[in-house]
Amino acid sequence: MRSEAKHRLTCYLSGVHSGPNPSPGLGVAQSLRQAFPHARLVGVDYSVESSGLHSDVFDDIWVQRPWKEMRLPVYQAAIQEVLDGGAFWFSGQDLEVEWLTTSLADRSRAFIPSPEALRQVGKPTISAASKLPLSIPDFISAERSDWDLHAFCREHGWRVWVKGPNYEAMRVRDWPSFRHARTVMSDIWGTDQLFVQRHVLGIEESVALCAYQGELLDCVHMRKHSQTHEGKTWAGQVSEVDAALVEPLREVIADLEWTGGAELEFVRGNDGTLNLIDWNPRFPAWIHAASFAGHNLPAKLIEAAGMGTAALTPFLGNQFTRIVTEIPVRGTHPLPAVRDPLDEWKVGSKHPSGMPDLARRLSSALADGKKAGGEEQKRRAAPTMPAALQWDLNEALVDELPTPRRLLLPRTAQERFARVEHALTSQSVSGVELGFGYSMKTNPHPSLVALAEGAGMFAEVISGAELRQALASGFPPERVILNGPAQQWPAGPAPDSALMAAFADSPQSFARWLREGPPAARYLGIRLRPVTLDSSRFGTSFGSPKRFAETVALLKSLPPEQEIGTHFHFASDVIGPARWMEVYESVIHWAEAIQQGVGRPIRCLDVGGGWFPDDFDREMLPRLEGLMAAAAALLPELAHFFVEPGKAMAQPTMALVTTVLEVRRTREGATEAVVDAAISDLPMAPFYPHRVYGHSAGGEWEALGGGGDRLVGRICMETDILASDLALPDSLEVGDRLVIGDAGAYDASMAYNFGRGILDDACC
Amino acid sequence: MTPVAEMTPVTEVMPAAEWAPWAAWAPSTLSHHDRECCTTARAWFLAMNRSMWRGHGGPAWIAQRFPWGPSRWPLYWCDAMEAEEVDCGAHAALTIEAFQARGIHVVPVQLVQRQEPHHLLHFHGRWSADGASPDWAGEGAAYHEACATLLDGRVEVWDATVSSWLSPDQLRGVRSIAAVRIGGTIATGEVVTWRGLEISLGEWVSPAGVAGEG
Repeated sequence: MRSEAKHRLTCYLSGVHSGPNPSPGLGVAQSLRQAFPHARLVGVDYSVESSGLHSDVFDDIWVQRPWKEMRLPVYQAAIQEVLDGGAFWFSGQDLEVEWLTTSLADRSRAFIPSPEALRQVGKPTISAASKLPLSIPDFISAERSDWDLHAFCREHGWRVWVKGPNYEAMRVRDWPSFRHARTVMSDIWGTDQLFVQRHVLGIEESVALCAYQGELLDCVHMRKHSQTHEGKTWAGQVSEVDAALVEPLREVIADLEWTGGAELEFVRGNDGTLNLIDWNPRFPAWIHAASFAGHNLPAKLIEAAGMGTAALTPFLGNQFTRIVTEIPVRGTHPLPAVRDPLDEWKVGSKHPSGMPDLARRLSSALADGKKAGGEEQKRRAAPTMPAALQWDLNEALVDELPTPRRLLLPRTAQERFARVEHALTSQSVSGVELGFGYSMKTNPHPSLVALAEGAGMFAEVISGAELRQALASGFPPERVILNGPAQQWPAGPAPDSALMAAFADSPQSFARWLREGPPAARYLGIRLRPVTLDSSRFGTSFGSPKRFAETVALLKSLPPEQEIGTHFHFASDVIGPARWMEVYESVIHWAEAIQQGVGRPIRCLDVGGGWFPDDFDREMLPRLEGLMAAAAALLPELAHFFVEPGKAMAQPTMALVTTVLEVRRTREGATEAVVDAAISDLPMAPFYPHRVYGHSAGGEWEALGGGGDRLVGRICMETDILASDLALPDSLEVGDRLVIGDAGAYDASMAYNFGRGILDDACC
Repeated sequence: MTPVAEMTPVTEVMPAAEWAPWAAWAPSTLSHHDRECCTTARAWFLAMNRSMWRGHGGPAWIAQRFPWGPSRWPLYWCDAMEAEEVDCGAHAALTIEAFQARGIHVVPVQLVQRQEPHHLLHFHGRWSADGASPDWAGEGAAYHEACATLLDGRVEVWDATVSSWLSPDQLRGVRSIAAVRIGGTIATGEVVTWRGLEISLGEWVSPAGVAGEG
């Protein structure tokens, strides 16, 4: 190899797999073949299953041992020998570039950037891009506390990705899928250094470039026209890079003293912003499309290295697409025998080049280095401990309580209800009266209901049973709002006077009202199902004009003196506050359309549902006046504006106290504590993070951080896991008390008896 | 594409017979029965538009909700909103309503686009079977409608049928632009810019004769 390289241009191209998620090696080889027909091209990869190795564009192939078993110093020496012999190396794998850039003594023929340049283009900050007219979408390190991560996901409406530092991204839509993605990515890539980034809606584009010793040689723009299910390019259009980007890019490349290929991947948002997602330190897999569009970037690198002049690559078009075809496998390198399947779900490898193995080796080397340097194993940060909660736990004498025990936190509860009381006096829009509805179903505990009543709230009830309990708790009928699909259940006496409002859950419910007589209420109306949330089972859908017209006709059937209203509830923590606000905007326009259709004013609007407490405080309360004003602008005769915070009121007001029954240490070094509480005491455990508190060395309560430990319940069910991804104290012992916070809403009202040897309901 | 100062009148670059059948057509508009049926249908559309489109880009939801297909004209609001499919004229008319509801100044766009000659029989068969006029489709070309946002003398052309922004450099192949008129039938003399090209509102022009291909 060494002597051959001295006689003719020889290029080694690693990363040649050509599947739905291809590496660039094959495209680079095709471009070099056109520019330098007599060059010797050697395909390099780490498994014969890397399909591009079998392409006839390569004169030879060099198949290495898999990354997980390779002796890295041996391979490093072999590459150095190849380069010393006069060959060039085009790496097609990010992690291989990372390894080579710190391993090779002489990088001059490897077309790779320096370690410092690589650091500056590392995700997610991509600090080198600060001088470019591109923005970095919001992100957060996955090493932050679960509480913070959940807040970030809510903030972005659960339109977020979990991403690895080098490869792969998984879209997540809720807390269970987030936790799954974090576990999977962490296992595959052998690192906890993941991050979460908001999704950007827009068109995916990228810029490929080549540079030599800090000089930008050429660059080209590509817009994806179609992509694979993994989001990889399948067809696209190549064009010149916008001049507004080229010049800053030239400066950045000079600052970085960049050598080699690169790809900047970004999303052009619908609002016109350019959002940089990734800076890959190698050519993209579509690089040959740039070549036949007149920009042979790999050839320009060879020219810059002084290896002659490239033959002209004919212009074939600026659009490209990919095809699937079959080629014969090299007889010298047959495919390995088909393995008997161990797991029916695992067919073939997604990563035939073995990148996860290299990632784990690099990560492990880093971890070894840190251990040698005396750094401790990292644990994710702990959330903040609310001061009122500290006071509540101290007052409750937690260590003396029988367990498991749900604990009302009086000071925390008072603080929560004081917030809405304050809002009632501080927020106003002329002519519109603001009210807050306490959702009885979130927690009907008498103390909380009394606090709600005392704070001037209304009672929002969804059944005859809840209605009667609200009345018994001191709410007069005119401070009760009735909604839900089974308002008539169970049958019972009607209130003495009119309720404030009643909303039918469906057109069928409303039609029944018209037949049998509606509840006596100042306002009657119907629940709206926003068209963008059409999967909801509640409310009347306006997905077709016919349904809209039917609803309008129903409302028109009410007696002319009856005042009407509309009602919209959807859990804000499911779609995030920003999307909730978008839906709210559409709802008030639907209310306006109803008002026009019915020919009488909407006088009452009731909105809310399922607010996460922090979001309610930070996003809803400060915007109330704006929301009311927007509604009043479209509904000029609006008189009442009701907000139902949902679980935002009750969730922080109770905690679950539990006792450790057993402490188990797993082979991997994690701790698993079995406690006397169970999933039946905390049914919402899988759906959002609950802060867990333990005693500090000083005896105070402190929040536990994140890690690989788990808190499991007393029940013989696989799903009885109360908290995962937790860092339990090393000193944890049998008999210790732990407190699980944020357990005051559905964790309380939906808790059930299980594994206690009793049955609540009579059975006949 | 080479930017040029002004586009050429279509008569100078295209045989009149190729586009003349459509040259006199006015942009499509939806009719209103002046009764509750159309009032409610329009109110539903405008509320849907608020729900489905945040005002960035174009209202792509329209073609998703109403896929392209035959429409019988005159087309009333109440019938259009109940339709399974609507044609490009309805798409354009609805899109103009959608933009205007967001406070965006918008004008109609009419185009003649190249088509595969052998597709003519399919177009004619499908439209005729639905009782709709197939006159929009010719052999190798077809009449099409879109709309253009207009701000500070610059237009961007939104093709609601394919939910994308058009460019005057689409000169080759299927759906490429043989002729275009921006602003409807009345030539006001006002000149606007469309991605570097200057166009007089209300005049049929062809980008083919003045802008180099590729």
